[in-house]
Amino acid sequence: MSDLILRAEKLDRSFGGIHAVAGVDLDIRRGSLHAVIGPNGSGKTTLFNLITGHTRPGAGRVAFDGHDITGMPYHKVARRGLAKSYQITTVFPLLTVFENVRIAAQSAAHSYVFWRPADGIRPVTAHTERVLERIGLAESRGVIAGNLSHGDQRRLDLAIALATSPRLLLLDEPTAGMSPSDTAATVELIHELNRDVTILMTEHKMDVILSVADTITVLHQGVVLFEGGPDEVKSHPKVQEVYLTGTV
Amino acid sequence: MDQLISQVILGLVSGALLVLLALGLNLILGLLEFINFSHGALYMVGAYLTSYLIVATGSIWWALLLVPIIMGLFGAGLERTLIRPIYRRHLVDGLLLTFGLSYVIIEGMRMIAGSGGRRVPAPAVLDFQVPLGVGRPVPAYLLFVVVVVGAVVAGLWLFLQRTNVGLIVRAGIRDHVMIRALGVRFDRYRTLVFALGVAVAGLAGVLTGPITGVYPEMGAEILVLAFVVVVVGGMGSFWGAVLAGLLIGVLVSLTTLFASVYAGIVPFVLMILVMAFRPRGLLGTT
Amino acid sequence: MSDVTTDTSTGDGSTGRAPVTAVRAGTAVPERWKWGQLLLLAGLAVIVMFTVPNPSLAIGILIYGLWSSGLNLLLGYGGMVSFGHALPFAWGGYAAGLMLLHVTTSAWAALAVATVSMAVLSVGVGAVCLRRTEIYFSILTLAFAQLGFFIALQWRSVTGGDDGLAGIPVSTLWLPGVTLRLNALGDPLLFFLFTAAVVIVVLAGLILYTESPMGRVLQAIRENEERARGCGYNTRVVQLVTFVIAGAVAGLAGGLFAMLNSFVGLQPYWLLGGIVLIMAILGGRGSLFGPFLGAVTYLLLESVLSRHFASWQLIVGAIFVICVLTFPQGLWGLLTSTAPWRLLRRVRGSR
Repeated sequence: MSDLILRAEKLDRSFGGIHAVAGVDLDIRRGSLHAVIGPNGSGKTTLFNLITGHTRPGAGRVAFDGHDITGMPYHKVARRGLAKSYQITTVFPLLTVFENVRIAAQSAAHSYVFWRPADGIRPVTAHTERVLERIGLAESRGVIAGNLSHGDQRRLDLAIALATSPRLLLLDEPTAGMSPSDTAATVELIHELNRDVTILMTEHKMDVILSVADTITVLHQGVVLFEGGPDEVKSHPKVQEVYLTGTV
Repeated sequence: MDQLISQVILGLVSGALLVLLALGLNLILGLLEFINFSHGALYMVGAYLTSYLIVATGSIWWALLLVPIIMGLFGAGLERTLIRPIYRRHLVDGLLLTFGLSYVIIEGMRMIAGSGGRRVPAPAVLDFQVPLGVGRPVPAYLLFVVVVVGAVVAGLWLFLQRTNVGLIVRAGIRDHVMIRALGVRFDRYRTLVFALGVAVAGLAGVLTGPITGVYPEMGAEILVLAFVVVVVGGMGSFWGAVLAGLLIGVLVSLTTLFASVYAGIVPFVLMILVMAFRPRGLLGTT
Repeated sequence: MSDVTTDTSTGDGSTGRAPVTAVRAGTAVPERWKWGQLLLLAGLAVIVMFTVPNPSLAIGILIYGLWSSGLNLLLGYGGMVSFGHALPFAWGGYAAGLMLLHVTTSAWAALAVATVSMAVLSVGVGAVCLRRTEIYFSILTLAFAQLGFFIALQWRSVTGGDDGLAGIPVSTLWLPGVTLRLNALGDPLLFFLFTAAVVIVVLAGLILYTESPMGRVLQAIRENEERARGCGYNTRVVQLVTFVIAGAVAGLAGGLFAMLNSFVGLQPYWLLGGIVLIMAILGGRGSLFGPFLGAVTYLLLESVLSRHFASWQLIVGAIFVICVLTFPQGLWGLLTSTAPWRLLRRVRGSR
């Protein structure tokens, strides 16, 4: 088993003449908490979409856990153990919190079963309970998801991703739009999750990045500018020039 | 040979009318995000209005001017009162609402005008045959329809390309989230676009009257074909709708000549082929 | 008796179609019933049997309800509006009619052929209709229904064209130890009971499907397809399976309808395409039983209104529009949010 869970090589994609991602290499170590940062338009979102299969790369390849997943449909990528939490909160609004998570929890073993009631499948409901407990939503299990507060919806979003038992979790700006106290709670949660899931995240808030990530890749205009630990990034002159100045 | 050419011309005329309906559907679909299922019924209302206006004024010219305006206003009223509350709901509700509206409009028309149809005379000025050099002479009215449709298509295109409204509409078709950020004033554009689509449908009704007469179900029949045009041309594609409308008009017309049994089936076979091999449509981009 | 799985009391505010920040739930979410729906249907069948004087109407209520309930699997559970649900109903009618006319008078065989052949056809139709988004789906289903209409109209040697298939013989029902004749005119009670039994069994199957993992995914897809894909589901497969089930149920209903009337005509079938949609929405898209309520309401409205008012469909259409605008969850939604029902829930909750 390789030390790398994800390996992107020479990823390339342009949109109508604009080179959004230009020959990016990205290696994610198993168990790491890897952050991709960069100013707006630096190619973070495109890079994520190339990894999940939402966008086809112009060139290059993505290997997940040793398997080539380049251009594979999103649901197949997800099935292999790559889950994504969304920047725009996406839950199943008219289903209960429990059902939101249960849907994700059953995907591993019981996706296309149609001959027995879903609520009777013990391992799935037990797993759902555990995830709710872990994320701190157990109290709200009966609430219709659309009626949750914004912060709770983001947590539910995360719970759904987590319930699929992913091996790599992609977090797209997990604290966007959160109050300081919610942000602190989320940072703690991310730390806790990282104990058994590899995490790849983007984030605007530098303090969040510097406090959670162990590896940071700095993107600028579609190319990797620098990669290193938080301290190296903080002190790297070029990084400060393009990114840190004025943003923090 | 003569017959072949005449048949192609007939096909272009019926295709041109399909184009008008499909363009209206496409506009509304792009900005309002649902299929206006009542489009055919509104087209039928336009055709009936024409038949009454001709009785009242003795000429179709007033109808050509007034019906699109009346229908446009009616469309705006419809959008403001009944359709607006539905935007914030699931996509399904917009479909269901306009489906229900078409039901009400068609039944209402049956109640007012009866189930039988009405004949609509073509304008006397255009009651002559035009020799084209090839084929048989063609009734002047049909050529008139083609000219009017051509002018409307060109006008719509310029409107979409050159005006602020057009800019918003085109941006809205590409990026709903961005356009939403514009805020409250977006509501007005929705009303405007819906009214415009209905006005164009009304105009199609005016033009159709003298060719086929008017009857309550006329809209329901042509609506399905207009949907097929939208799908074949590519959803949201302006010139796709024009191309597909004319293509289907001509194909149906020619099939009627050679194997009339299959004429009704041809558009659907074309649609299934397009869905199988080019699901984004002939000129669709996404 | 039934399981209430959702808390409905907190629902207020409005839904954003494109959630930008927080997603809000819509108006009150109706109660979700599971197996209790079977009892409700059985109760409804008994009431219909004793109160509706016209046996043909009583049987029709069950058949329309079945057809509409299957449609609601697509509509209410899947969020997919099919405007072409007349196609499977008509197909089932022709399939059963042709079997009874030319092959065998066995009711089981006729209904099995109607159901299975329609399921097979649905795989192909569904594959095309589901190639793109929901909007395409609605347009394409309508187009397929229209295509079916043209084929049935033109293929006179098989379908009888405009004249339809008349004189479909009375079918024979083989049961263990006894052979019965399903004559809707001669013995309407037997026909009614047979239909009721079939309908209840099918409803049980539909409930099982909606409560199964796959059926739950269907509802998740309705809420957020992208997210369902993100959970690893091939959403198209789930939608296609649902489309096939709804088609098969409609085929079965069409077969029953052909046996009821001893006739399969062209016009009535295609006019019914919109009616079945009205029944489902009016009855309530939040449950499988709701459409049965819709069928009862529609058919009773028809039989009462049409006597006094030639344009009665105008009234029905207006009710439908009002329903979509003001009580989108239909009669079922109204019923389950009324006072006695809430009281019942509170009593149950306090235990």
